Amino acid sequence: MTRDDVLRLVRARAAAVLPDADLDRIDPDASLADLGASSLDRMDIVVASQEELGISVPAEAFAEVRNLGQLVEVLHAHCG
Amino acid sequence: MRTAGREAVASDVVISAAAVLTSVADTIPAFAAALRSGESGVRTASLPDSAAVRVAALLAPGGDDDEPVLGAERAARLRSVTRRCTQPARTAARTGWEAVRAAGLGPAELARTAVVVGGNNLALERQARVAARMECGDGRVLPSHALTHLDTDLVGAVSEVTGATAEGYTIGGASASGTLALIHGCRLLALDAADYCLVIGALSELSTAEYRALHDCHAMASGAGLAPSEVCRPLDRQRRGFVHGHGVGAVVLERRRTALRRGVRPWAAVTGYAQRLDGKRGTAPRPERQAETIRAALRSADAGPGDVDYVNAHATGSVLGDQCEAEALARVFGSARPLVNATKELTGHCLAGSGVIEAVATAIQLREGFCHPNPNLTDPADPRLAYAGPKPVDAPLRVAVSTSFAFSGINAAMVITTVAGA
Repeated sequence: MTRDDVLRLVRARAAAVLPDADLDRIDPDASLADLGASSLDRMDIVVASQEELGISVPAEAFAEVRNLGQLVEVLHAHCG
Repeated sequence: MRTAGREAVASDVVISAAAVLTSVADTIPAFAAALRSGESGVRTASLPDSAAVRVAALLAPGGDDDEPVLGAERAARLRSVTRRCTQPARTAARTGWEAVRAAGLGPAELARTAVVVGGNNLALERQARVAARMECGDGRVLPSHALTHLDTDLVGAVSEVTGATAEGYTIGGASASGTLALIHGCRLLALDAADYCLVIGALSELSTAEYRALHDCHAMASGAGLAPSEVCRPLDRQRRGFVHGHGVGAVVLERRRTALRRGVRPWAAVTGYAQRLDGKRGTAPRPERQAETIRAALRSADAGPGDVDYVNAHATGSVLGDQCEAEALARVFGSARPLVNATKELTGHCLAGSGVIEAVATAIQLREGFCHPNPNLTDPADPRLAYAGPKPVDAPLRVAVSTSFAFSGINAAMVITTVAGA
């Protein structure tokens, strides 16, 4: 699975959690908070993305994540 | 001067605005029309066989579409605030918002508006689905479940959508929750703890397990062998149990003088209320305690049985429950014989929502001067009461009693009257 595959998947999860978010703005530099996500929304997106990828990433791995690109990076690093 | 055992009542509380969302209506004018026609919202429901129940009065298809009533802009705002909320939370926010708008409350008033949500154990279907998905899947759950599993998520959703920011919480009393919440709202106004109370009777979901348990304990009708609209027959000899309904009611309560100052024409006044416990755990009702509750409510309103024109009975259609309530009403009212009807024949039993939905139904009937029909009440089980019966009865109603009785021996009654000069 490429980084782009993971990005597409995370975008889809983000769109599902944030039905009113502007899809075109869900780019790698955007923070989920910028898109209107609360902390709970962000955790839902992270957990739903892992579920779809079939992976389990320890919570501390996301400590430094500040935007969508970094989130994709962490998830991709844990994909076999 | 207070006498022993008599409740100090805010006799100046009025219902200044109302909103409903039920299987038969999603606006007040539609609800008034449905009441007059005696329309049933009971339909065949696609429940699993293990539920043992085939009928329910659920929200109509498209009942989750808020746009027709709210308009595109407000529906989008509701969707944004209530994202991934439970159905009880979304519908409470929608209906509460409608009531607040109808009351014409602005930012200054909303800062003095309390949110009282009647209901407990509300999103049972969602809870069951989350648990099942966790069992069957890989053990994951969306972290937002930490918030959405709480009944109090309704309070937050209602507060954010409406802007009401005085005190707020849920009041739990199972099927009596709505009436308990109304009573609590009246007390808040009497204590001057708020100037306005947004009181919501919340939508109560049931999962397959609750349908089955309520059916197997002989409280809920299966619906087998009857047309759906004929299954729910409160107070009728052929009744077989209650039918579950999805519904939300919301009202704004305020003091009469506040409404007068704001130039609001109130729907009705709440002049008395009472709540009593059976002192006993379980599901079996106690007619003598129900009667005592109604008498206490009348005393608090300075009214006697002969003053009452109309009773909106709790009457769910359950075999034992209706028999006990008829006994209680006969004991209290004797030869006074006010008109009696049961709104649950139309809406189904909306559980936590029912007390507020029925207070709204009562206010509409008082205001419009009619008693709604019960088309299925063709063979009354208890001949001592005067039923509205299968056709609407036009009558100048002035004083009404609305009852709510719940499992665990929770009894409540309110006295609702017309407002002079309104």
